[in-house]
Amino acid sequence: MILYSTTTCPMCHMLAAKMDEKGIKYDKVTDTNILEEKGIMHVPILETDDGSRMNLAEAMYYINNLEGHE
Amino acid sequence: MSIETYKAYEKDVDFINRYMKAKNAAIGSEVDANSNVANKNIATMAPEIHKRSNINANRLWMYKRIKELYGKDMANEYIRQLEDHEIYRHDESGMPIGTPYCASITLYPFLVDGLSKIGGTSSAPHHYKSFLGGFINLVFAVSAQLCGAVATPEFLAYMDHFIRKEYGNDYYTKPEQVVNMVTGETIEDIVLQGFAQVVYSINQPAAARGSQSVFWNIAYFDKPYFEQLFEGFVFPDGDTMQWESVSWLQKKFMKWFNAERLKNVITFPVETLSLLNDGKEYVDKEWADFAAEMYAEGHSFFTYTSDSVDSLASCCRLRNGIQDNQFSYTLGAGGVSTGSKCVMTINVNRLVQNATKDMKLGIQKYNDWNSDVDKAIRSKVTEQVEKIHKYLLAFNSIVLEMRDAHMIPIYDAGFVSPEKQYLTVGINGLVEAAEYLRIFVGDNEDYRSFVHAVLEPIYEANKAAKTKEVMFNTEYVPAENLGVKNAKWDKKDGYVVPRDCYNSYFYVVEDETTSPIEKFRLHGLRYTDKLDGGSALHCNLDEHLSKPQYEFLLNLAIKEGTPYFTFNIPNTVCNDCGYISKHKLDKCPKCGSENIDYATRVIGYLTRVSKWSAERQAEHARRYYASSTSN
Repeated sequence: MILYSTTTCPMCHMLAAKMDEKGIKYDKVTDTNILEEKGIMHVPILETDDGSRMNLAEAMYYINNLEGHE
Repeated sequence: MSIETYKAYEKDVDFINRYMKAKNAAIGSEVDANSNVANKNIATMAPEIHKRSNINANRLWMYKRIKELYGKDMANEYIRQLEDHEIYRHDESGMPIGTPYCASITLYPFLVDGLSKIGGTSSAPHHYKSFLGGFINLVFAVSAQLCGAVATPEFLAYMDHFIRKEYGNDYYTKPEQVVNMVTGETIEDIVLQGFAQVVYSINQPAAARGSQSVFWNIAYFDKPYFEQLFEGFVFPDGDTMQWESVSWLQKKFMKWFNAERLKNVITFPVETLSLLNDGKEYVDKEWADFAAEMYAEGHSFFTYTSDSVDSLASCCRLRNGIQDNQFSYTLGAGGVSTGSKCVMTINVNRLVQNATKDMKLGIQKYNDWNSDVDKAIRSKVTEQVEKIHKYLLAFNSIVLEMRDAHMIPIYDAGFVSPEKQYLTVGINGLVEAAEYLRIFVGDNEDYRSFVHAVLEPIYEANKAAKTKEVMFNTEYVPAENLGVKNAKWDKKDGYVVPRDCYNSYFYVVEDETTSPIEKFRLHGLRYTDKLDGGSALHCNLDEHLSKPQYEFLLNLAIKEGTPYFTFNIPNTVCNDCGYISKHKLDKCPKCGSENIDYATRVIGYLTRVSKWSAERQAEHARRYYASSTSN
């Protein structure tokens, strides 16, 4: 999974902390040029391995319901 | 040790004696007088004694840093420019070097960590009451790390979250429901008590800031701005934002605050309502209508309008390429996670007179705008802004050093990031410089050309100097003190000075011929398109307008591209019986006393005129409040 975020976004920090707490592995992209190239204008965005993207609300729901990560 | 050792402090003793006898705290202050001090007392006096030392320490540190970064000549030039009053560094006197100026913070870290990461012991709030108490402490704690204002644009949206947690998502549909069987209190009672708790607590003078209350700003949003700012937003407990209840709460707060100001002169919060327009009309008609209604009911607040939803800063939205001008006026709120690290202001009147003196051209020649004058001013402004950028970058490096040493915990805790705060070039004395050039200050091509000759080079330099780490903007600074100081210094040094307090607006504050409509034009796009940090139009009126009249002016703001404005109608305060009227009266309508005071905005914030400095009181006496029947 990829977490698109910025260094100044408090919601990103919270999502990352939540994923760390659950032991979920992910790569983090914070380069705003890459975010803009990908059309991401709002962070955090979590991208799953199949390429689908989730905003914070969807990501929180997703990781809270991930099996094997409780 | 002999008494001789202590004689160096004779000046402090003399100052204390003068301060004790002064009529009010602002008059007693001899360096950086401030009207945001309700009473003169020992707590307000204490920081006054050290202001001169603070200035000297600030200058020494800046000198050393500029020398390190840009060499001795530039460091000497910084000191010379300050001492010659060509530029002014705001808040040199009050706080240690490296203290950021102002910030619009996100409250998100407060919901995750409480106050624990900024030196407090409170953990994250989980209930309505702990949110309110913690929030008050947060505003004081954050303010202690800033020289200027703290804005909390999310305050009401977060308050709504905690009310919903306790009384359900539909609380706003049943405000009359009794929720305390013992006291009979309703949901509405609980909400209003929350407003009162926060507002009265925050208006309490804070000893840490020389017994000023903290400068606190909040924001209201229309639906489009709200949805854009909080798109994808999730509270730490998984809850999302709910527009309907936030909208209700915003309206409830405005109504409550307006009514409360009949009981007391309450200075804070300074409120800004953000309304999106589509170039022709307001997108959210309900909120535009409500704005006109509130102005007609006598409430005084700022309105911000733009045709771009991206014009408000956000902690979590990436700015797109279209938006060069992100709104971040130091007095207002609006965006989240923005602000200014430092403001250094150009004395435009002195600059223009120096520019033309260097050319050995007499002022009598300037009946019309011409290319020589244009070229001379642009060249001088360009030279000045190059230097000011270096000074600001030196200050920025000190701020970052402070951050790295964990001296500014609001950065560590994520309430705002230094990369999101601007380095601000201020301007003051613009109108006076135009008058020196014999340009009529009003809506005309000469004045417009002059304004652009000053602002365009700064705008271009700001854009060129922008990096991922630093952003610059330009602001027509409120200059509560500086307007007075520059006039005094310039007069002493033989410059042409038309009044004792330089204007903070694009119009002449005492001019009776500039109509409210023209004032909107002068603060509109034709004049302010190169002012990337903003200006605030204070439309001074002698009486309240009707709702349709305010609707007309709100629509005029769209037509003229006037982004930020308010209406000031002096309120009358009876010194004998305490009665407050929203109208400007000659005597108290309740007890008939003529011992009255007025409450109006000294610059951005509303206080009693009797608390202002002597020079500002004189400015107020000259200030023209247009008749409600004028054009």
